[in-house]
Amino acid sequence: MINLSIDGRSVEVEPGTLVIEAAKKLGITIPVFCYHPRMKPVAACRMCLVGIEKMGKLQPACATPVAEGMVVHTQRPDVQKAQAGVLEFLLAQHPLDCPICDKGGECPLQDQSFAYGPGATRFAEPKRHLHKAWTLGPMVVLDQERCVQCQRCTRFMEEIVGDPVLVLKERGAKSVVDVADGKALTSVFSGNTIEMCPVGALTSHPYRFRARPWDIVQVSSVCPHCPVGCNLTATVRDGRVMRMLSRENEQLDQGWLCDRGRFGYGFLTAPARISSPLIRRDGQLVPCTWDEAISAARSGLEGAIGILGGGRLSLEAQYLLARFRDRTDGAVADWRVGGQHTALAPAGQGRLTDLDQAGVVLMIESDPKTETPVAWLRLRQNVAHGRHARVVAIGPRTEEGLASAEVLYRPGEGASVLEAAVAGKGDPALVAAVGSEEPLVVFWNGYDPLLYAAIAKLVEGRQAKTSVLVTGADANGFGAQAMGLVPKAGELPASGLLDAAARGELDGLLVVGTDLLRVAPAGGQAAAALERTSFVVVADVVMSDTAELADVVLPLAAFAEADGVFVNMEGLSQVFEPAATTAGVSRPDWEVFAQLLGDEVTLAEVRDQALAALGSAKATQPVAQGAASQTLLRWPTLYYRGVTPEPHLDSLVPDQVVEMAAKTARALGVEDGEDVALVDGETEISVRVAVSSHVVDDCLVVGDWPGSSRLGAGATIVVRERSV
Amino acid sequence: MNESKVLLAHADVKGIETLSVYERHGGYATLKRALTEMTPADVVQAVLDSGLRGRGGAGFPTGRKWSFLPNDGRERLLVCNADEGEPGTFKDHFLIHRLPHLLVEGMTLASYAIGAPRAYIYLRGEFLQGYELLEQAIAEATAAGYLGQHVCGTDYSLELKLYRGAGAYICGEETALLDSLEGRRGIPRMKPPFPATAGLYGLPTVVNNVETLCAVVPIVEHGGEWFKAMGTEKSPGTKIYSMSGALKRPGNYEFEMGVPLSDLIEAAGGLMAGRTFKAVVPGGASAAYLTGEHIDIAMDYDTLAQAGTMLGSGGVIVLDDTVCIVSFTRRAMEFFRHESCGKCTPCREGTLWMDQVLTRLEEGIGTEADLDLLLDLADNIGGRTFCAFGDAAVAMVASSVRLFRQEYIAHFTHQGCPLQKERVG
Repeated sequence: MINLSIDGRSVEVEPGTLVIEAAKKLGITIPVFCYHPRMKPVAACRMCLVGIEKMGKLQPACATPVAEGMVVHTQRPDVQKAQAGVLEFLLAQHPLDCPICDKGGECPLQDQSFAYGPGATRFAEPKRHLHKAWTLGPMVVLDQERCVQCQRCTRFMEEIVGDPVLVLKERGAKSVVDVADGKALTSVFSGNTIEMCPVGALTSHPYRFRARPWDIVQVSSVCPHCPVGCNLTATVRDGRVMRMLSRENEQLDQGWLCDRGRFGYGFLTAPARISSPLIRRDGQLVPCTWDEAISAARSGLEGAIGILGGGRLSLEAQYLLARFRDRTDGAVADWRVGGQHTALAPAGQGRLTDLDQAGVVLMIESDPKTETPVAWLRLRQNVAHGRHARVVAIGPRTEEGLASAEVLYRPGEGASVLEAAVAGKGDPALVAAVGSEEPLVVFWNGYDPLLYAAIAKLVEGRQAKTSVLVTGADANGFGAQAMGLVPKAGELPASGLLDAAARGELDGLLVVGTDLLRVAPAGGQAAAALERTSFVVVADVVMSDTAELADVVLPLAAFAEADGVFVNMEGLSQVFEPAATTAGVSRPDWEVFAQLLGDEVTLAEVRDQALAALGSAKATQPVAQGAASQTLLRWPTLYYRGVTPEPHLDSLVPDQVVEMAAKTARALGVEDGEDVALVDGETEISVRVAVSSHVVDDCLVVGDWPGSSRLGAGATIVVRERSV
Repeated sequence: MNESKVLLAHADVKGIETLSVYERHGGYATLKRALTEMTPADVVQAVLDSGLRGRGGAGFPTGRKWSFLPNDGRERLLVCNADEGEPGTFKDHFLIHRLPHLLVEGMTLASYAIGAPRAYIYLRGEFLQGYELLEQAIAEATAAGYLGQHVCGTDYSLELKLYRGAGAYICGEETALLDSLEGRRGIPRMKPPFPATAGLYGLPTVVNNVETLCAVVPIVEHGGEWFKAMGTEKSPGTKIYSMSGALKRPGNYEFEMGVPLSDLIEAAGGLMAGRTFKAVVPGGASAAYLTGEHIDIAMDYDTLAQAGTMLGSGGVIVLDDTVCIVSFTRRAMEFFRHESCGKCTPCREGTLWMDQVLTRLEEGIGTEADLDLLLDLADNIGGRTFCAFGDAAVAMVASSVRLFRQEYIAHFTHQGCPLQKERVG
C-alpha cells in the first residue's frame, strides 16, 4: 500500500492508484472534463491540475499515479489559478447559448465555471464558428461549437465498444469530433456518448429541445427491453417520459445503456397505446368501462383456457396471473410464446459480474450483443482490457465480434456437439473451452430443450467455476418462470396450446403482453389459434395485430407508468417506480389481474408474496416445446425484439435479410445482395440475400421482424425473375 | 572565435552526397572500424564520454538516453527525428541535402550501439529533394554493404526505413512522431512510459535528431574525449547554428558551443549597411527574445537558459531596426496557433486567443490591458500544457511584451505599425 497526503490529510491506497482516485477516497473533489473512471486517462483538458511537492510543474491528477510520501495540494493559489485559466480558455470560444442548450442546468462546464471559474472573461475577440447541428448518427447530434474536445465520446467508442467510428478531425483550434470517413455512429451503444459528454455538444434527436432540468423530475426505473435489467433514470416532464439516463449499477450495467434501452420509451406515447378497455360488439372492438371488460373477461375465461405470454409483466402481475391460472380449472399458462425453453439457467445460475473473472466464455446459440447488449459490453471489457477471456461461439448461426473460434452445426445438433466436446471430441477450441480450468461463463439463448440437459451436465462435470446466463428470455421471463407461468407436468406448452387452439380445442385464450402473431414461431399456427378460439382476451400496453382479433382488450400501464419488480437474467429482483402518467384509463398490470381474480389486495401484499415465492422457486426442468431441426431459423434482431413499436428507433431497423452460408447460396443459385422471396404456403416475403460465414450450411436465418413468424421451418427461397 | 567544422568538414565538397565522394573523404571508415574493432558498449561509452547533448532542442545527454533502454530481450529500434520544423532552423535540412551518407553512417553506428535491427528516418514531408537524396544514399549504402544484411561483412544487420511526414510541426515532438510513424494522427503521447521503454510499436526506442546522429560519426572516429574538449564543460562539442534574418550571409555555421553571439553574427556577414541590431531569437521561434545587452552572450544550453531563453535547435534569427516586433511576434503566434495539435485546452484555445489579440494589436486596436492579458495568458499556458509545445508557443510573445512594451503602445497611439507608417511616409 502507498501512503500519501492530499491537502494535509493522509490516505492509504493501492499502488498504481491515480491521484484523482486517492483524492476521491478522501472526499476531495478535483474538477475534470476528460477524465472518466472507466477509460484510460488522456490528461487533455488540464482541468485536474494539482500541485505535487518536489515536482516543478502542476500535474494532471487524472494521469499521475500515487507515490509513497507524495504531498498533493488541490487548493493552492497556483492550482486555483490554473483551474480558472483552463475554464477561461474553455469558455473563450464556447457559445454562450446556455439558455437554449439542453445541457444548461445540468452541465459540468456550467457547474465548474461557478465553482472554479474566473467569474468574468477577458475574451473580447470574435468567436470561432463551426457546425451547430452536425449529425453523427441516427440518435446523436453534435454541436461542434460547444465541444470541449475531452475525447470522452471518441475514447468510449474505441476503448469500451471497440468500434472507433468517432474521431477527431483537423488540428488545433479547428479540431472537431466527427465520424470517420465512410462511417456512421449507428452503434447500439451510441447514446452513451451523449450522457458522457460534459457539455451540451452531444445531444439526442429524441430529447433535443424537449425539456430543461428545472422542468423535469427524475424517477428510478428498470429497462424492460431485455433480461439484463439495466438501471434507468427516467426524465419526466409533465407526466411524460422525455429521456432515459443510466442509473449506474456497478454489478449490472456499469453505467452503460444500449440504445434500445435508452431510446426505447417512445412507445409509451405512441398512437398504438390502448387508452381504454375494448369489447367486441357487432364485430367491432369498441371502448367500454373497466367493469364491463373485466366481467366479460371473467365470464368468458372458463373451461379449457390457454394463458399465453407474461414474460414482460411485473413480478406481482405474474404472481397474480399464476393464481388466476390455479383457480381456473382447465387453465394452462406458458410465458414462452417465442419458442423459448427456459429463462433460468439449468445449473450454475450466473451473475453478470462473473463475466469479469471469466477466462473462457462459451456462446451457445446465443447472440448477446443483440439479445443482451450491455452484458456483451461487459464481456468486451474482459476480452479487450481485462483477463482477455477466450470466446467460443457455437450454433447454426454465431455472433460476429468477440469470438475467437466458431463452431457451426445444424439446428438441433447443439446438445450432441456439446456432449461430444465434454467427452473431448470435436473442434479443439470448443473442447479446450469446456475442459478449461479457468472460470467459464456460458451464454445460452435458452431455446433448445436438449441443450438444457447438456448444459446442466457440462456444469456438473466441471471442476472450475461455471456460470450460465440465459440471454433469450423476455425482460421478466425469469420472474414468469419462477412464478410458475409454465405448464405443469402433463400440460401442454405454448406451442402445444396454439396447436390445440388451432384445432378448436380450447374454450378461451388469454394473451398477455405479447403480439402472438409476431412472436410465436412456426407459420400460421397463431393465426389459426386466434381464429378458431371462440373467446380471446388480450391484455397489453399497445394495440397489435393480435389485439385486433380479441373479444376483450385490457389496457395495461407500461413499465414507466406503474410500480413493480422485474427479475433479471441473474434472478436479481429490481423495483421500478411509476414515472409517467398512464395512457388513458389503462391500469397497472397487477391491478388488472387482481380484478380478474376479484381479490382485494394491495401492491405491497402482492409484492411480499411474489418475492417470497421467488425466493423459494426452484428451477425445475420445464416442459419441452417442439423439437428444433428446422431449415429456417429465426434469430434475434436488435431493433425488432419485443413486441412494442418504437418510434425513436425506426430509423435503425435493418433491412430484412435472409442469411446463409456461401455454399447454401450457391446451391440455391442466389447471390449476396440479391432480392429474393421467402415462400411458405400462402406467405411470401421479400428479403435480400446476405451471405455470411457465421451461418451453418443448408440453413436459412431470418430476423425476428414482423412477418417472419409466418414462415415455417420448411420455407423455401424463390428467386425473382432476373432482368436480362 | 572561428568556425570549427566537424560535421560540416566536407559539406562544401562537390558530390559529397554521393557514396563514392563521401568514401573518398573518409566516409564509412569509422563505421567499418567500429563494427570490427569496437563492441556496441564501446560505442555507447564513446558517446557517453563525449557529453553529446541532443541537438533537436531539449539538449538531453545522448549517451544517457541510449543507456535507458531496458535489457528485457525485446527488439530495440532507432528513430531519426528529421521532421525539422522549427521556424529559423534549417541545419538538418542542410545535413540531409549535403551529407546524407553522414546521417546514414551515424544511424548505423547508433543502431549498432543500441543493438537495433531496424531504424527509421521520419523525414519532414516538405523535404522532397532530401527524400530523394536519402533514398539514393540508403540504396547506395545498402549496395555497398553499409546497411542491410551483414553490415561491413559482420554479423550485424540493419534495415533502415525512410518515412515522410505529412506536414505537422507537432510531429517533431518525439511521441507524436511515433504515433504518426505508426500511421495514426500525430498527437503527443502520455509519458511515462517514455519511448525508451515503450516507443515505436511499443518497443524500446531511441529517438535522436539528425545532427545528433551525425555527430556520432566524428565522436566514434576521434573518441569522446576529443569531442568533449570542444565547447563548454556542460555543452561540449560543436553545434551547427542556423543564422537567418537581417544578415548579409544567412546560412548554417558550425562553431564550438559557447561561441559569442556577436561572433556568429559576424560570421554570417553582419548586419546590412545602415541597420542596427534590435533583437535576436537564439533558438528558433520557441525561444524568448534577447536584446542588445546580450550581444556577446555565449551560445550554449546553460548560458541561454540562465538568460531566460534557450539554445533550442540553434535557429538564430536576427532582427534589425526595420523589423516590427509586434508583427514578427504575431506571425510566430500564427504559426503556433496553426500547428497546435489541439489535444489540450490551454494550447488549443490559448494560441488561438493570443493570435487573435496580437492580430488586433498589430492593427493598432488595443490598450495596455491587452499586454497584461497576453502575459497572463502566457502564464496560463506555459507549464500547463500536455507537452512542451505550450511553453514554446508563449516564450516569444511573453518576452516581447516585457522587452518591447513601448513598441506595442506605439501601435495603439499610431493606430498601426509606426515603422510601417514611417516607411510609407
